[in-house]
Amino acid sequence: MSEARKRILERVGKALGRDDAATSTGRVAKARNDAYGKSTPPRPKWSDSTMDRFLAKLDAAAATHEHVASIEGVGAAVDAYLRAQELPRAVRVAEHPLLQGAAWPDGLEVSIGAQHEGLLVSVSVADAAMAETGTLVLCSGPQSPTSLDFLADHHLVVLPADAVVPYMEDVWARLRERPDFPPRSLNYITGPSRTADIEQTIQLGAHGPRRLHVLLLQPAEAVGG
Amino acid sequence: MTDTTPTREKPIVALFATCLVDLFRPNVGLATVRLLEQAGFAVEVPQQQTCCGQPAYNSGDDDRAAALARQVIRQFERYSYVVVPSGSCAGTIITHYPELLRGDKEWQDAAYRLAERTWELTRFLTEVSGQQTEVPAEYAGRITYHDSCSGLRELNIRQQPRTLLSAVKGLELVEMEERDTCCGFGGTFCIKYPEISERMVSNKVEAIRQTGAETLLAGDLGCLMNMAGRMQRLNVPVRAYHVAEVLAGMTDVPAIGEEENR
Amino acid sequence: MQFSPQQFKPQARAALQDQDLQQALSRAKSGFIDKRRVAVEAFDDFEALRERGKRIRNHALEHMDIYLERLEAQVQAAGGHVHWAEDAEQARAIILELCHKASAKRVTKSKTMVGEEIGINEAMEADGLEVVETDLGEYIIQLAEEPPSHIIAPAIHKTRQQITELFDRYHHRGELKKKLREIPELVNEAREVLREKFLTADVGITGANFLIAETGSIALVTNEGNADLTHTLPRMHISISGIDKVVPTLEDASTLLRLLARSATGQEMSTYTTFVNGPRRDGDPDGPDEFHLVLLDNGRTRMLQGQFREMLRCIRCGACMNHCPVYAAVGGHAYGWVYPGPMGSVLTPLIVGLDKTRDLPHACTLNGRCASVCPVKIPLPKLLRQLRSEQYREGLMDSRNRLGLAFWGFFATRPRLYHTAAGLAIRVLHALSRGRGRFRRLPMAAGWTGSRDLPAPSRRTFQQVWKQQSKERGR
Repeated sequence: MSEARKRILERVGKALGRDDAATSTGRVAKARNDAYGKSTPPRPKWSDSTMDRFLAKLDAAAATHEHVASIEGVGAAVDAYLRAQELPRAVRVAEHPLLQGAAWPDGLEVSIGAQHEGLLVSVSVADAAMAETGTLVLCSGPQSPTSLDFLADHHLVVLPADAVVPYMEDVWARLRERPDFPPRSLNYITGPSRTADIEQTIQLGAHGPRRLHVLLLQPAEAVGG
Repeated sequence: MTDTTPTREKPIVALFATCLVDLFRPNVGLATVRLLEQAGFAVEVPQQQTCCGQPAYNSGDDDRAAALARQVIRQFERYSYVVVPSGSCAGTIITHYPELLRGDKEWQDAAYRLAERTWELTRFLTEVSGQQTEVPAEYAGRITYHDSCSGLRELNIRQQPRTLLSAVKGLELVEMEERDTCCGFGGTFCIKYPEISERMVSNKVEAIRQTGAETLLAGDLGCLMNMAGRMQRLNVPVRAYHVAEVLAGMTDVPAIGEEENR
Repeated sequence: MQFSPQQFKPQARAALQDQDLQQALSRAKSGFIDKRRVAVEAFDDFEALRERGKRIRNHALEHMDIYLERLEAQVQAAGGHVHWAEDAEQARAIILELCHKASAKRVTKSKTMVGEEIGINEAMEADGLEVVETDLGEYIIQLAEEPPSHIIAPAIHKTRQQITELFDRYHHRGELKKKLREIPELVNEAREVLREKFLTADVGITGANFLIAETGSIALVTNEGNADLTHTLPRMHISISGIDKVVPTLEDASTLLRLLARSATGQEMSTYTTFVNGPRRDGDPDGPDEFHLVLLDNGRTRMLQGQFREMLRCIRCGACMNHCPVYAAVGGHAYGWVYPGPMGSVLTPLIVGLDKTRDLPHACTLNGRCASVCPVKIPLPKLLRQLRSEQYREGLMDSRNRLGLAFWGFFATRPRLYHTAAGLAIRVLHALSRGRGRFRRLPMAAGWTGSRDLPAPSRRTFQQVWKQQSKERGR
């Protein structure tokens, strides 16, 4: 179908009145700058701290959260969540270096990887989060199977507090520094799965997780107020 | 009419009455004249005026619409102010003539000039004449106001009629739900798609009824005839007047579609 | 895909009589409008956001060739493949060939309007593939064998009762179920049925909300998470997109996403917004082995050239139809093809031809509400009017309207004759009204008097009254 490619691009060029000289990358970048690229885009504004905004929006998106003072505490927090939700004491965990430090309590069955059978509760680590909308950002990779974020009924996400930034543009700035950017699947997740396809009524847990719970990893001295 | 001889100092306004007012409801034209005279203007009505060409324009008949646009420009270009008691006809002149005649070397500048000097009535009264607080009219009763689409979205008319009405003694304005939703008139639309139009105007009538208002006002005779006609068909006892008629205190005539000598 | 825009009038009439549909539509209308309003009001300067969205889309369109080539190079660099399709037929052929290559039996699909546009489901089913729509709304209408009636809420015309009956028929095969079920129960049932499909599909097909040239990313937006299960679990992921969806950078996509979520559902961010870059990589625990992007023209380069370029800014949020009083009255099916409402009334004629869509540009009062909410400021009424103008030029307007216009135009452009004739005509009409002030029936105005009274004219025209008054007042 390379003929189709040629013809489509020819038609585009003709429609735009192109002469070949006009298409240098530099000119396009300048045109973008002139059109809108120099100014900061209009964005939501808020007066609270970035963290307060994030938590408020997280809550508004029907996600829950708790503070965990250290990575060691993640194991116990997960276990407590399972008990509170009256779930079997079994979790599927991403092979993330941070989670190696989670002290999993005895009796909690911890499996690692992306297999799907019997997956009810998963634990993964967020690469960033944005306060703008209470959104978690997860990048696929060896340490983070995408399917864990979508197949579990309960998705538990460990979020280091310093990964929370104000806006989506800040997320891009942060992630662009990574050598593997962009990952195969870059997921912005705002609350649990939902649908309003039946009579416009919002129902949680359409295809993805029914519950999204954030374990905010925040050293005690950093917790304000 | 109190003022019989326009003095030379009075600025002159040309009235574009619109074809619907000319054919169906002269009282709106007379009310507009009275309002303009009260505001200190001398009013002229160019006799050769017919229609702004909107039916042709909205039907895609550009040549015929352009012919009418040229005719209107010729008739009105000598005036500093042209006032129209209709948002949609004013919108045609202000917004669409320049589009229609763009590229026509002889006429495009004239179209822009006319557009700049043409005003919808309530906007003219609030923004040009500056006498909006001295409307001496009285109208006892609850009214509700329909925002006609062209005026609202092409000319940004929303607050102006309300500002003027707020000075009318005895008048109470009750806003309806979805006051800025189309009434289903749409010019030839209501004839071409009568069933859809009927549903739209029925929704509108329901919203009007819900307010408990005794009178419906709007700034466009087409929409008013549509809504009044539907209310009469459904025996909804709400009277309909053009906003100019109430502002000018000229509601001593039957309301739109009402029998004579009631 | 059903194709019947020629039947707009009878379809609209049928829709107005359909009680279930009317019930569903009245619920939908206030839901979408109110939610959007709240979200827009909570944003400090939504107008500035719209303006930026418009500029981003304009810039992308003005440099579409450059951005498409950049996109292609980046997709390939990520290990993906790019296919170009000039029309629906080529697109279908490419996708079927890919499915053969993957020895596919079962294909999961996440909602794609371009997929509807090219009729991919019918083609795959005819080819013996099992096609499963996974967006709940799309799944429901797939069971009902109906096209979508809304671009973001495809089953908006269905009531809970109808969905219960569909699920009873397809999930329980005649077993007796209690009649009306609660929404959570229905959602859970679909989740269970579809989970199995997700896990066993060979190919996953998605659309693309945006294509990001800079990174070669495909942006996918859902609330259910079905797009992610569709692109992550099968062996092959195929994304279909119009060439118009390309934007320069991730930052530009961010602005457009802010507009999209607020305009579509009144959310600040949809639950899942995903950027897909190629297939599974070395070391990745999941993801498809192959990634294919199919870029579709199908009339878009024609739009790019002419006076309809602005339509290509569309980001498919559905706000125009949510705010359209005609859509609210008749729903999406009346329009007879994939894209309903104002955006559809512009797009459909431009894609399939004006001669097959005569009613669409006219079934609109030009009230302008759609344009006032469009996140990228597409002047929809202006474009609809331009289509009417093209129709008129091409002789596609019906002769009755054409004659009517000619008759009226004859008088309107001859003022003297007009005023004489008008004076006579209204005197006759006034006499006919016999002082009742209105007509309940008037044969020549049956379109009007079918559903409303026609106010009768006064005895004299305004011009006549004015002339007399002027004489009396001595001016």
